[in-house]
Amino acid sequence: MRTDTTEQQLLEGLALNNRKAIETIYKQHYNMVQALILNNSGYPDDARDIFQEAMIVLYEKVRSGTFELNCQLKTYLYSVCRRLWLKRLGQLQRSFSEVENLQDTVPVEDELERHEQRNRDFQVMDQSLNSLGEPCRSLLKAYYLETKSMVEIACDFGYTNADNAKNQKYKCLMRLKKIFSQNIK
Amino acid sequence: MVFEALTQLILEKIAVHLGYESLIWVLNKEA
Repeated sequence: MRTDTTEQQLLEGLALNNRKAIETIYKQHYNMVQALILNNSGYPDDARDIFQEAMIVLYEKVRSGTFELNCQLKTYLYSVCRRLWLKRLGQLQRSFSEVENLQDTVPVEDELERHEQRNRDFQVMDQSLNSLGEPCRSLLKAYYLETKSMVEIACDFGYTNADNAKNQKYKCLMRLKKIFSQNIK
Repeated sequence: MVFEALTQLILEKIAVHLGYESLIWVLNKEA
């Protein structure tokens, strides 16, 4: 079964960080995931965390170039959340007895493996940025995470102009590269 | 309101995701 036109539009919206598309996906599917978690040894906070992670997995998928899931969106989200929750339960050493299967499932192991690898890389990046110190950490975050312009950064960080801020950014990148390379090994 | 807050959270996570992805890409390019 392929995704229908409306679902495809939602996925395209998600790929563009469209707030309305994301909110619609939440409204349509969050309760299903919450029921899965609450019926299987989980709490509302667990449901929130698992759904957030599943949305990131979905985001990675739609940004990788395909807006078609070859199944309904609810089946995909349910499958991802179920696998994530099974893994989390194992880590928490809580019991898992899925009394009822609320949805069909599809294989998502390969995608979750890629997602976990990406998470590991991001954790290393996080540690590397924390080791970097100031002002480099804030400068790189301002540019890459907050997408501020070099003019804004020059103003915020007290550089005389955008070119000086750009030079500083380059030096910070080189320092980060050294730390990241050591940490990623 | 709950969904608005959750949507805001995911948008923030996506911003971090994109930022780290760009940083790793740049560092690899500079290798």
